[in-house]
Amino acid sequence: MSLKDIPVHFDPGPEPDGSAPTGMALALLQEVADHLRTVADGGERQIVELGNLPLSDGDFRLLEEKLGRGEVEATISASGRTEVFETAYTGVWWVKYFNEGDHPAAQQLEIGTVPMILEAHPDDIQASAENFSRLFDETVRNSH
Amino acid sequence: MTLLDFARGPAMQIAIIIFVLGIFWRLVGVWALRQKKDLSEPRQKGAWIGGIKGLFVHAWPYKPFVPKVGTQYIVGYIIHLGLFIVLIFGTPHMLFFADIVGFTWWTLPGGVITAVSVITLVALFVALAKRLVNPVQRLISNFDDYAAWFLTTAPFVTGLMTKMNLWPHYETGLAIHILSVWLLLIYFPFGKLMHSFWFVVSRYTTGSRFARRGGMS
Amino acid sequence: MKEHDLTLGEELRRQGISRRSFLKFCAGVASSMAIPAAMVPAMADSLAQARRQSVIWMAYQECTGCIESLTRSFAPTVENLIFNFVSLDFQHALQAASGDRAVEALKTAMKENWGKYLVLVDGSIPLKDDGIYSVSHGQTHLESVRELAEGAAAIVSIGTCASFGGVGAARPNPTGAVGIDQIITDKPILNVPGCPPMPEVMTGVLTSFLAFGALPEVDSLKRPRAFFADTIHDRCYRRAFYDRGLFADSFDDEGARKGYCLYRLGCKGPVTHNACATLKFNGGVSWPIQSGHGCLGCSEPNFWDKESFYKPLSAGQWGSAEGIAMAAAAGVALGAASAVMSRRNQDKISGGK
Repeated sequence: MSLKDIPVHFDPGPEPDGSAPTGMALALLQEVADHLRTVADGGERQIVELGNLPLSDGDFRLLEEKLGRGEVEATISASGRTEVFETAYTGVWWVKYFNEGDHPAAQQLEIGTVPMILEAHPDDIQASAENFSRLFDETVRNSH
Repeated sequence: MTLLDFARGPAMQIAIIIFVLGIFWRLVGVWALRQKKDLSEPRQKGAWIGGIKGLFVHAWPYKPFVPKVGTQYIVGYIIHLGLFIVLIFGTPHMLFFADIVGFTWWTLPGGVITAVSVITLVALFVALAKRLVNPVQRLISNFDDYAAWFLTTAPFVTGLMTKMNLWPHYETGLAIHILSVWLLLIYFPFGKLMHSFWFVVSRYTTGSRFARRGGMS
Repeated sequence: MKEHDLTLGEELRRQGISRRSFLKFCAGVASSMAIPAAMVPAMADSLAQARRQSVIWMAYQECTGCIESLTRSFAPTVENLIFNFVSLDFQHALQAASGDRAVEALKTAMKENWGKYLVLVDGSIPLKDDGIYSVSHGQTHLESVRELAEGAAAIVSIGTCASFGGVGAARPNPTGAVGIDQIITDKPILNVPGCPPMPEVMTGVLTSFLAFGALPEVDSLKRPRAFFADTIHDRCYRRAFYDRGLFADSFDDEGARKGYCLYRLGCKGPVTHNACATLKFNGGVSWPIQSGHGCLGCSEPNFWDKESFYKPLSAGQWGSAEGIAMAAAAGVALGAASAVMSRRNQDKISGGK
C-alpha cells in the first residue's frame, strides 16, 4: 500500500467568522471627527494609523461605507505603489502604502489639505532643478 | 522565576497543603470531642429529620425578625452567590478546576462575570459598612472578622483589576490576584471562614437537638 | 566623494530614490512602532541626515532561525537600501569571507569604528566551565562578547536566546547558558526576543537608531516598548470571542473552525508581550493564532519551561499528590491530638464526672 491508496479528504470547514464589526470602527470615526475639527480650526495635519489596530474585515467595510469616496484619486509609484483617495468628507484622505509586490505596508487616514506623500520634498525639487538645467543645456546643445 | 510562576507553582502547592492540613485538623479536632451524654429517653424518634429541617429553616430569619435582619441575609446571599458564580462559571476559574477534575463545563461571558463581581464587591462593602456603623456589631467584631472580610474582598478587587487590565504590568497583576486567593486559602481553616464547613454541622445539630426534646448534658 | 561621507538621503537620491519613498518607509516604521504619525516627516528628515553605521553581527549558541526570519525583512524596498546603507561588517552566515579573513575583517571593523559600532547578537552564551561549550575561531563566545562589547556603542540581543537564554537555557541548562544582558552590564542593551523575532522590530530598532541616534525606550525586560508594550491578548483579533466567552475546546471542534478564542487550548497570549498580533509574520501573511494555534509565549523569559503549551493559563502547576496526602494525614493527627487535649480539659472542668 502506498500513500496514494489512503483516501485523503480535505475539509476546509466553514469560513472563520472574523468579519463582524468590533466597535473599533465607531471609535475610529469619533477620532476622525475630532481631528477634522482640529484641522478645520486651522490646526496641523492629523494622521490616524489603521495598520496597527485590530480591525476586522467588517470594521474596514463599515469605515469605507461611512467615509465614502470624494473627488480626488491618485496613485504614487515610489518603491511600490501608494494609493490615495479623498473620502466624501473633504480633507479626510485615505492613504494605502504598499511594498513592492503589493504587500500592504501601512494604511492611514490623513486629515489635512493634501496628503504628505503627494507633496514634493524641497530636497527633491532642488535635485530636480539641477537636473533640469542640465537637460536644458543638453537640448540646446543638441539642436545646434 | 517570575512572580507569576511563583504564584502558579510553589505558592499554590504550599497554600493547598496548609489548607488541607488545616481543614483536617479542625474537622477531626471537633468531631473527636466527647459527645454529649444521653440523660433521658427522647420523647420522639427521628431527631435527624429535625436536623435536616434545621438546614433549611435557618436559611431565612424567623418571621418577626425579618425587618431587623432581613437585609443582612440578603447581602449575605448576594456575597455568597456572587462568590459561587464567579468561582465556578468564570472561564479562567473553570479551567483551573478542570485541570484538577478532568472535565470542563459551561461558563458565563466575561462581561457577566465582571458585572457579578462588581455587585458582589458592592455587597461586601455594604456588609463592612454595616459592621462598622452598627455599634453592637462593631463591639462583637474582632480581628478575625476583618481578616475574613479583607481576604474575601481582595481576590475580587485584584480579579477585576486583572480583567479590566488596570495593572501597570498585567502578569504581575495576575500573579497578585492568584496570590490573594492563596492567602485566602491559607487563612481559611483557621478563622471564621471555616463556617463554610461548620454551617451545615451547626444547623443540623441545632435542628436535631430542638427536635429531640430529651435531656443532655 | 567617498561613500562613507554621504548621508543616507544623498546616497538614496544618487540611486534615484525619491524622498517620497523615504516618507513611505518612515510611515511604515512609524506605524509598526506606534510612533505618532505626525512625527513621520521629521523622522524622514533626520534619517536622511544619518551616516553609514558599522554593524557587527555575532552568532553565538543559536540555530540561525533568527537570521532566517530577519532576512525576510530585507524585502526589495527602502528597507533593503537602509540595510545596504548599514555597513554589515561581520555576519558569518551572510558574508563571503570565511576563516581567518573573516576574523580579520571583524578586527578591522572594530578598530576603525571603536566606540561607535553597533553589535547585534543572536544566540545565548554558555557560562559553565568558562564557556567552553560554545567556541568560534578558538575563542569562547564568553570572551568574544566581552571583547566586542568594550568598543560597542550599543548591543541589540536578537531573539529569545540572546535576550533571555532561550532554548539553550531550558531545563536542565547543561551549558549554563544565559542572555547577553547577564554578562554585559555597562552598555546600552536592547532585547528583541521572539522565536523567531519579528523582522519589523529589527527594522524599527535600526531605523530609530539611525534617525534618533539612540535605542528606543524599553520596558523592564529591556524590550522596545513600541513593540512590546501590549500583550498578544490585547491586540488579538480573536479577543472579542474571549470577552463573549466563546472558546475552542479542541483543535478541530466547531469553535476552532469558527475561529473562537484559544485560551482553553493553552494560549499564552494574555501574558506574552509581542507585536505579531498586528504586524504578523512573512510580510503580513499570518501569525500563530491566525493559523489556529495558541500563542506559545516565545518572547517571554523561560517560555520553554512553563509547563505545557497546551495547558490553560489559569491552570496551576501541581506539586506531588503525596504532599497533599501527607498534609491530610498530619491534619488528622493534629486534630486527634487537639481533641485529646480538649477532652482532658473537659474532664478537668467537670472534675472527672
